[in-house]
Amino acid sequence: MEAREEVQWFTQTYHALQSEIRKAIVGQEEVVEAVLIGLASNGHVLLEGMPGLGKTRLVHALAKALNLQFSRIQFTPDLMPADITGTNVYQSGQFEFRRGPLFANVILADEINRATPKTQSAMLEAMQEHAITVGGTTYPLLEPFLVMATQNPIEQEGTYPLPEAQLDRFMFKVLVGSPNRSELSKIVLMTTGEKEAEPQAVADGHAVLKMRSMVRQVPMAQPVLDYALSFVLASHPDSPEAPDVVRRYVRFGSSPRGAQALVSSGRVRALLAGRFNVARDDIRASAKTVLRHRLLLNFEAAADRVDADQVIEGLVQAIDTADRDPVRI
Amino acid sequence: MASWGLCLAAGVTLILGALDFWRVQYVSVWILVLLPILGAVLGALLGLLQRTSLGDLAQSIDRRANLADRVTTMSEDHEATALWELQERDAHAKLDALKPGHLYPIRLTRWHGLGLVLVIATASLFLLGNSGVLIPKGEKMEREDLAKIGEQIERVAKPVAEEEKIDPEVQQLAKEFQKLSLELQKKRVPKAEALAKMNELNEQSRELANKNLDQAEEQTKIAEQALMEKAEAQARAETGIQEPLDEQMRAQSREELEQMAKQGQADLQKLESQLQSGKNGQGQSMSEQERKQIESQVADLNRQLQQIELSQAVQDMMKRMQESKEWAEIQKLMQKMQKQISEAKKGEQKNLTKEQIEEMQEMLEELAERLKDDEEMKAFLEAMKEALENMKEAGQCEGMCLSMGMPIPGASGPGQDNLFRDTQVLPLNKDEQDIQSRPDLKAVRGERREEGPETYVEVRGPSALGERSKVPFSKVLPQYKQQAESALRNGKIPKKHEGRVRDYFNSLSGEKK
Repeated sequence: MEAREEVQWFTQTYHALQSEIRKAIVGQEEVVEAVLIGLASNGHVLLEGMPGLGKTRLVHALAKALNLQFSRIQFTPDLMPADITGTNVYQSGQFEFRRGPLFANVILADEINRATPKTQSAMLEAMQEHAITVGGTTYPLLEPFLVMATQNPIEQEGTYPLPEAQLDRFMFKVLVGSPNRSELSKIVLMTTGEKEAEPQAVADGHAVLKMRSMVRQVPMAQPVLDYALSFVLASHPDSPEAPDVVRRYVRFGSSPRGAQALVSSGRVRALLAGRFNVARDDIRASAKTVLRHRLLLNFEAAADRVDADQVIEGLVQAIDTADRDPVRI
Repeated sequence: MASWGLCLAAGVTLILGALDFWRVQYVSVWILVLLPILGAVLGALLGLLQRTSLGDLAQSIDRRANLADRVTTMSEDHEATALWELQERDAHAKLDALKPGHLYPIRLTRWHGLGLVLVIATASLFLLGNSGVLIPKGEKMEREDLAKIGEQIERVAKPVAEEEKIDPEVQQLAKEFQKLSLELQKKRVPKAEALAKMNELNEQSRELANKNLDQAEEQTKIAEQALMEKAEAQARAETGIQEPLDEQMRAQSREELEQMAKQGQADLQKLESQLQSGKNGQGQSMSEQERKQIESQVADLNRQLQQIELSQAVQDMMKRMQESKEWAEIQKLMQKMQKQISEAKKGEQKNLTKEQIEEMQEMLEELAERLKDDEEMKAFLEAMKEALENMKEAGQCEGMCLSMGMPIPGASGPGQDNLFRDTQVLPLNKDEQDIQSRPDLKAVRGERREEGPETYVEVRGPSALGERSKVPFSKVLPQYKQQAESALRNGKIPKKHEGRVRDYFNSLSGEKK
């Protein structure tokens, strides 16, 4: 297959997956896009939203469309690490490893903030390493491996908010919003009707791995990379590049994983736009989903009711203002 | 870059325009016009000379043509992978579809706008200052008159200012005059200010002229002294008398000298016969003391006779010198110079003109050539030349002064007051509201005469008390009139001016002549 055809295949596969997911999910374009980009660029996604907004349904639909193994883990305070990783069971005179729900391609970690930090750590280690270690033996997880975790922004009692280091392992944090009237109408009709449309498998694990391999090859110019790096560097309040909004409201900025996520997602977006190179627009488009959980805001931000998205908007504006046409006529 | 150059130059132009407007420094309209153009052209040239890297150019094209960093990516070194090749082809295809003219159109930026605003501001400032829009109609006429005077001053001051071999003080003064003439010609100076400045320069000119005349007088004395010394030296050589000649003896006329010589000889003979006989005037034998006294008198008489002889010899020498053609010319020149200096100092006659002085200088040069072998004449001729130079500079100062229509004080002449020829009756400020306005203070200097040409300088300017009178005219008039009458009674006013003073106060109080 020629390169051009491969790129066409990439976009076709992406759009096929998208259309299959839309059979089950109404609206939530940004969420679907983030999930698919995460899938194509080997990144995990944290979904934050109220219950009943279709998070589980989304993951389920994705798994079906990909013909991949799907696993849903409902995180509770009494959930132990072994419950998700698996455990050695003594059977027939010897210990045998019984695999936990993490041994699947698409994992839905529902209400991840309800589990204890110990269990969260086990989960997050698996996300980073794509492998788990039980009883001194390391077991690789299935590939492709994609985790989509959800958390409820309102109920804080009895929860264990994810520490920043663990949040950093999620490529995107997507805010799942409530549907509007027409979307809600479609959802209700679709889910209470006689027959519910089922997503069909349009790709498989190999296709996903191929997509990920293609994404890594997308060319990117140094100025564009510098542009992406500016987001991370300028997000630190003590950096000379930091704009006023960051100096005022941010306590800690993004880690290098933020830059990696911006570049990877930018590459996917470039291919989806029919381009063979990453553009500044591709980087800018992912700024909010990549950075919003990586910025630790200070008390002043809370007092002024400034959230991470507002800070990121200020950051984008400052970087774009500084990034001028180098030729002046 | 062109717009920056324009802005920068326009900024400088605005400053120059402001300086011109507030009369700190006058600026030519051409400078104001050419400077922004030059700035824009220089800016454009600098922009053209500035090298742009390939990467920067690629980024610029991407931005301007919305190519989503295609050209930037293409312009970088890369591996020959399939996707890179695709990217390159894609970028080329997009570039081919571009029109460079659309990419870099000539457009007006905010810098161009700023430059334009600055240019307009400068032009407005310049026009406001130079068009006379802000000047009242009456004052415009005055400034027209002043402009004509400015031209006169320029005509006189310019050659003096440009002359190389001239006293720096005179040259500096000439430059001041030139500056004033420029201000007057531009019609930018109010009359009161112009007159104040003219008076100041007039005063300086007069002082400088007097100083130069003093120096010229000094030089002529030195020249005279040099001549006398020459004659004395020759006389001493002829007579063999080495004693210096007394000043008193030098001043005696020939007849007096002869008489003094006769008397001296007679006295000497008488004293010598007394010494020989050993008897005094009464026929008695003289004591030793009387003898010594008579011997002393004889010695004194001998010395006096030597002085007379020397003085006569000097006068003879002078007479002989006078008989030579060169001497006659020199003496004629010196007399002329002394007369001119004396009269100029008294103000009775104008100094010699530049042409006259140059003619005299030529004559001196000629004489110097003829007398070049005579070492002692050199000092005399040098002193004469210097005196002439001083006279010339004094004349130039006077000339500049006269070019303003201002006479050298004391000099007579017909109606030099062309500045106030239209001045009629002085306005009388009788009411309170009148004295709240700007006073029209007048000062009269010089000498008015009942008949014939008269010389006076009238100056209008702000009151020394400030811009407002403190007391209404009607309140002070009786007091001043009383003082004037007292002065008339006590003979403090010259007889010929009594009538004028009386008429003046009568006119103020509304009485008829």
